[in-house]
Amino acid sequence: MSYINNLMQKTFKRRLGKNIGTLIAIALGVSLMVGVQITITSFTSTAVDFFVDAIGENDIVISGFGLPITDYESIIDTIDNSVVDYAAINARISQNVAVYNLESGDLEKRVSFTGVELNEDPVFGKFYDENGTEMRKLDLIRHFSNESHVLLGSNLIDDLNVAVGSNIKIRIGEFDPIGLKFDYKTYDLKVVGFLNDEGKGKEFGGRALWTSIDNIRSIVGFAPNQCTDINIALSSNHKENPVDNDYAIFVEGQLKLILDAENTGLIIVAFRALLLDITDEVLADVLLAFNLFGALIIFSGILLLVNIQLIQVEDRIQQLGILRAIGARRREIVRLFMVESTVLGFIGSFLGVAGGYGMSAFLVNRIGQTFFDGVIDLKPTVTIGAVVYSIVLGLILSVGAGVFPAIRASRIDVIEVIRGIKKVGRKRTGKITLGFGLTFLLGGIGIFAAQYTVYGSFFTKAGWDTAIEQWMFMGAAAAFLIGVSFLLGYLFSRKFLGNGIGLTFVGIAIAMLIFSVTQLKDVRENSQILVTLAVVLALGSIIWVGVNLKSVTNFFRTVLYKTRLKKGVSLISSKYMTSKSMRSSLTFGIFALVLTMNIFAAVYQSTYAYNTLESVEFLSGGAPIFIELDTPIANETLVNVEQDLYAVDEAITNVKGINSTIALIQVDEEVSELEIPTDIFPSYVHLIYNDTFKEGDDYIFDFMFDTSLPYFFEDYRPGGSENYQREYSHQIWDYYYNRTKFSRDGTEIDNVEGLPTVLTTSPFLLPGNIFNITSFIGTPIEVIVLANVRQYPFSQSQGLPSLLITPDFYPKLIPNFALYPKHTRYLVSTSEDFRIGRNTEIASNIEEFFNGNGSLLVQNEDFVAASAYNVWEVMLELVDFQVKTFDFLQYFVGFGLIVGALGMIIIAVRNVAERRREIGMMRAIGYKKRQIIGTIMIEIFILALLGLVMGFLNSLMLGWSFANIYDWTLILPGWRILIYTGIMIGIAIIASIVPGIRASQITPAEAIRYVG
Amino acid sequence: MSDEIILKTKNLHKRYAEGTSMEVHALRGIDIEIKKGEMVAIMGPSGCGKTTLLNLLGGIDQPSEGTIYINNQDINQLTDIEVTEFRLHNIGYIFQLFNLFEFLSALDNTVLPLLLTNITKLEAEEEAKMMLRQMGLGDKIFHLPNELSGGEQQRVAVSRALLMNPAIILGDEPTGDLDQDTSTDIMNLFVSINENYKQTFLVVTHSEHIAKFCHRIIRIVDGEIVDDGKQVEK
Repeated sequence: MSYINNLMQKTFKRRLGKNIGTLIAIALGVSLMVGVQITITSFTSTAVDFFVDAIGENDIVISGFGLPITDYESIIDTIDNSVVDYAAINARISQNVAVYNLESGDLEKRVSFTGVELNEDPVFGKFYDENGTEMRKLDLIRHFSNESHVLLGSNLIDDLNVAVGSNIKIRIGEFDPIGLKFDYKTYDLKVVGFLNDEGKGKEFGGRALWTSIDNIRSIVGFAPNQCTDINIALSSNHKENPVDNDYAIFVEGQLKLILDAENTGLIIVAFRALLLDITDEVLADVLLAFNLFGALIIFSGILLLVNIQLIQVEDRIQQLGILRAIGARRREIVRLFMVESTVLGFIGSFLGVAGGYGMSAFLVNRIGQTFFDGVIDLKPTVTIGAVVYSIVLGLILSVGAGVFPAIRASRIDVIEVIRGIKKVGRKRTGKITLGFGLTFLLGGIGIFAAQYTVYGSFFTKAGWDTAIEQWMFMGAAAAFLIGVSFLLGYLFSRKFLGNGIGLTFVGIAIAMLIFSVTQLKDVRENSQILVTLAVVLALGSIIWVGVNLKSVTNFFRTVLYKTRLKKGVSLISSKYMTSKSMRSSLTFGIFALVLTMNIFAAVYQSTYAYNTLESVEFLSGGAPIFIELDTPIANETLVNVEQDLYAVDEAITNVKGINSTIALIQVDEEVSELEIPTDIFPSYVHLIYNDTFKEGDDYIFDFMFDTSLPYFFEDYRPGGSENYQREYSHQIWDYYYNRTKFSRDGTEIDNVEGLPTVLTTSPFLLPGNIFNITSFIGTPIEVIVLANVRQYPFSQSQGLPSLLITPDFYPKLIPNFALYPKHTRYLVSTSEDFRIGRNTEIASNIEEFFNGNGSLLVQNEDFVAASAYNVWEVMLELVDFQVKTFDFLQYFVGFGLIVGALGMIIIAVRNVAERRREIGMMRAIGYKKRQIIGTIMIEIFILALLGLVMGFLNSLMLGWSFANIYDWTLILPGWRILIYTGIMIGIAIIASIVPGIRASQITPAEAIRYVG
Repeated sequence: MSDEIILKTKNLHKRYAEGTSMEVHALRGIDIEIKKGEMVAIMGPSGCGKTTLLNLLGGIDQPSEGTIYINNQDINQLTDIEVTEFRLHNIGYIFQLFNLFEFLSALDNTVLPLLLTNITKLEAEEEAKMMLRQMGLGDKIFHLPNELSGGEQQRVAVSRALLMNPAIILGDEPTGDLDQDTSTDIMNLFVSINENYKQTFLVVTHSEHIAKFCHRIIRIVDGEIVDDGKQVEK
């Protein structure tokens, strides 16, 4: 045994350079696996923390939907005596106000003015002064001794340009208990202290004014038993004891029953769970991209690793024969390779973990810079699971790829091994092939049977949009077909086996493209399916092309034969590739994956940008500026917006006011299509008069409908020309105004009862959905969704969705509507270019018109907080997160590109090192140096070309799938595709020239004696 | 055999690791002349410099000193590209370990040198097939090396060496890996080619049995010619 150990050490030393190459390649492969996992985990946990951090430990919010909650103490007693187990509970009064610093002229909108009990449970956040010192109750009593004294959140200090002692003015609603409404007034406050950015200082994003609940109660005219919110914490420390979302939603349901929410009008929402759900929604696109590209990157890492290990072993088959000849037993040989592979795999994997950490450290830093403007100092979140998984996978792949060829080779006749001959015509793996065939076949049948037992059908029951069902069906079909392939391989030829497996994967990918992808509509739910598709597609195409490599290389050889001087070169290249089909397949597989990643990233970005931004102008309906007031203007004799705004800028061509209010949407639970986190949610309701958009037959504002959702008209073609879409859009408006009864056979869209129709910006409310809207002071009204309009400009208010309703049922919704004839939203047309015109400047002037010191409203202290938006810029801001995602993706796939390129070069150099003897022979025969270089280059180039074609096709299919989920037009960015293809060709050139030159420098006299 | 000198070396030296403590003086002033159509064997014990000499003559290694003329061309004066081109057209190589490309068929292995010239692939393959048929491998032209016996593999190597009609064929222990019967067959083949086509052979061997097939035996010991054997009467 000792001679084996001795030999192992000697071999290891002698092949040090090669071993280092192998180590680097393994390390690079594992780096990709570790890096991708750590980066995705870090991003997800950071983003979730970022979103949830601001709400502290709050789990459930009970509110009166704008109206005060009366007798709140008895509500708390009821909860206290119920089965609901909570960690803390409090009552608050909170109102969004506009804050004015009259001295500096600074105005801040949407500031939370909140009053708390002085003995509020610290679970909901403590008060820390600007130096970070915790305030005691006595301090608070002193601070809030005067009704008008407030503490200021950290982010307001600079925004309002105030100091301790500054006087500020707010516009706040005062409750009218008789009219059940708020009347707005201005109120003077004095800043008595600042908070730092911990505890309550970070609530509401640091944009809050704090006082005692008694003070604010007095200011807004609430009775002593009234408040606006009751907050409930189910855990006092969510980091240590997180609350399961399902449990929070369960408690929400319990509270609704206990407090009889349906009749009392209490809005009870599992706020944290809802926020986490929304976070999931926001992150869905990003995580889809990360997971998709991550899967491809990890896959290329695996190919890299397996490839280098194959080279490492195949190089020494002859040595192995010599060992057998001198008496080494098979198990000793296998042990030799196993120890070597394990050592290399282990060291490589550990280096890979370090490299992966470095990669993720860089990427996580980029996440901080890209997504959070560098305000958060992010550290990679290293999970033991990711590290162990990567090391184990790295080891399994290294040892597997190293030992299996050795086991196979150790079975070959000794003499044949020494002479480099493989026995032919013998079914070496006959029994194994048969065994695999039967196992797969039975496995497939078994999964089909399980599928039938669980779902009552061999086929998927609920359609093709559930990952688990797809996996079961696809898995069963794949196992069955692979089993058949093995059996055909056993009975006829190995070619059947390879082709069968390759075609199985390609077939599954095509089946997914045809049947499944066309049904995918939910990015979050379907991301696993897309990742599956990406991997199956890549795997299938690599296997299939690999199996048929001979035909492919024959084709290339025939082409190259036409160039007479390349005959000798192309013969060696093509035949060598075919003889090493496994390694060649892995090589072009890496090319294919790297190109797939890069082109798909470009297609993804372009498709997204085109479909979200390019159409904004078209969809904006001719209103480049949208104005939103926090309260109606009290005294319209001072300012009549529809008349006076024309004087603000001569480019303004049209101004139209819209009445808006907040109402609640109560979803009928029988509407199963709605996948929303709660069955009740607030929405802005905009009153759209017939003449708001139209003057006679002419549309002044001509808003388009969202084409990404099921459309009202069955024959509608998404992606049609603008004229085509406009024509359909006008038909929708006609239905909307005329309230025609309609019915579509075989669909959910049925309004034979003539329910009031609404248009909505909510992606949760689809055409045909019926639900109630209520303001709780009026009668709930049943409405039906006619169509979905684009989100902008109707829904800029704090992220709430909008409903567009006709005037006739507005009074029902708000009985005292007659008291509110005033507008809070305005649509503005200008003569400026939608994108590059002066609309931002005009919007700024409009804000100045309402809020500036020269404003009549301000001078008369009847100020409103006005926000005027340039719709194009809002849209840009809206997609900012996604744009940042794409920016970040460039780094992400960039790593794949760099590591892939390095891996390719290492593999190519190693490949040449193992072929010294052949190269010596070629030189002896008469091959010139440039012909040697040519041989190596042609080889890499053919593989690169195969990879490029496959990568291109795969990325197109993935791009199409992605576009299909959103019903988007697929955009192929020609230049970027060319650039990435160019980069890949560049990598191919480097990866072929470097080893080519090395090969040409090999001394023939030494080379022909080389034995590995 | 004609009087035309096909190969001539003058004061040929080869030193490895020159100028270091590890320096090995492998060849020490070798002078050889070989006539067209001659069959010459170079013999000597292992490590005497036989293969080194062959590599220098084939232009795949450079002498430290001295000149080599093949077909009146001083090959040391040629650039790397020129010497490679010269080798392609003037020198055929046969190795002990056959040195066939395991992934190429007998035909592909044979045709390789012709594919480096301007003739079409079809013509090249026709010539290679003819050569293989002459070598008795007409029924095995599409076989891979691992489907051929040792003797057959060496015949493929001979076919490849002969295909370009070289000035000289250099054989480095061409039968070293074969049993005596097969070795005899191969050497008879060489003799027949030599007689029929006046092909010049220079064969490195340590086997007296093999050397006996040649017209002349040159013996080398420690890098020096100790005996430039007389013409062997056959």
